[in-house]
Amino acid sequence: MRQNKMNDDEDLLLVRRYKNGDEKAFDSLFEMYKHPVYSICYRYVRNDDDAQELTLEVFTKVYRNLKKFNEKSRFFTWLYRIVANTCISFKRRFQKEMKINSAIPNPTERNLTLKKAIDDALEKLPGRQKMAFILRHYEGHTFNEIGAIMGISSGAAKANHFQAIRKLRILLKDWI
Amino acid sequence: MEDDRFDAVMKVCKFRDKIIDYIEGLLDEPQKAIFENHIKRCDACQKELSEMERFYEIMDKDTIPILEEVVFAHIKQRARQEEIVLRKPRWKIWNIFVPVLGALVFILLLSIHKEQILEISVPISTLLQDQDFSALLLERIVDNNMVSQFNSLEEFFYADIEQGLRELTVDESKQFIEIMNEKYGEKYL
Repeated sequence: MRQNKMNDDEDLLLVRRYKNGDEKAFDSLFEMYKHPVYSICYRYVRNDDDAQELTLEVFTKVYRNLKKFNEKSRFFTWLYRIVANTCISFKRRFQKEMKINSAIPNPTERNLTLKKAIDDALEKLPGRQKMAFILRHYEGHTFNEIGAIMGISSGAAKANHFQAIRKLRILLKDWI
Repeated sequence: MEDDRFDAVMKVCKFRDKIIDYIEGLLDEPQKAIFENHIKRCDACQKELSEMERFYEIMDKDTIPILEEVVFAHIKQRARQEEIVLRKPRWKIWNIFVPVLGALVFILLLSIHKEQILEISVPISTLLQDQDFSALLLERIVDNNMVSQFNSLEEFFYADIEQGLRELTVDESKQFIEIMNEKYGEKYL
């Protein structure tokens, strides 16, 4: 989801309406961002239950903290930073359980579906590299935007994305 | 064997790092022209580009389920009602709880067994009459020289030292302090 100036203006308008007590403004923001937020969460955790739970956690944080949004950054950067941090910390908190749940006896076996192979490959990436890859490859953000979302430089965002591709290519070499 | 040769070439080819930029359209026109010119001549880069394009195709095939609107509606409703509760797995809580509990017990034990020190000021003349102090004298742990130093100190400090100092001029006061420093040093002052 590429952002443009018009989206930014609309976001800001809705944020200000919400700050002035208009609850429906939150509904509008939710409608605009529910799909990309769920998409990022799903691609990060690779299962529907956790993705729904993360989406809920993200929008709960947004609802609770929207009045504190200082408008110094773009709204979507602020929102996606919540998404990135929530996903990365979720992963960190539940890493042990997730590894057990997603354990595959022999990842090189040919009978694995492509989806499972991708699940397994993404699972092996460090959180920041995976997030940079998702934001770039699936959400189409620029490295400047990814840097702003993840709180790193655009160069670091590009490096994370680059490393993610290199590792994924090695991990998925049987499918290429 | 052939793959090894390609890998070796790719490791040294300076265009290797440009392949992702090329696929993602990040090269400007002159860079793109140089890259395309190179790729015609470099088999290793051609192979790498082809594999990388295949990798992008595979990743593009990775679709996600479409969530029903009713589920989104439920999430929106809950987002308004939910308190933010960080879900901490039990093992994580124990990781924090056990060391904290251990530290508390350790501090408690230390405070119970801590030696209590009570300081009471005793005039040296009284101290000299003390039996235990006499025993120290007999055992030569405290010698006559130390006793005489104690006596001298007491002579200066047991009397109304402040009044005595007030009677001295500024120079005399400084001299007195210097003499005391020289004689007893910081050890006794």
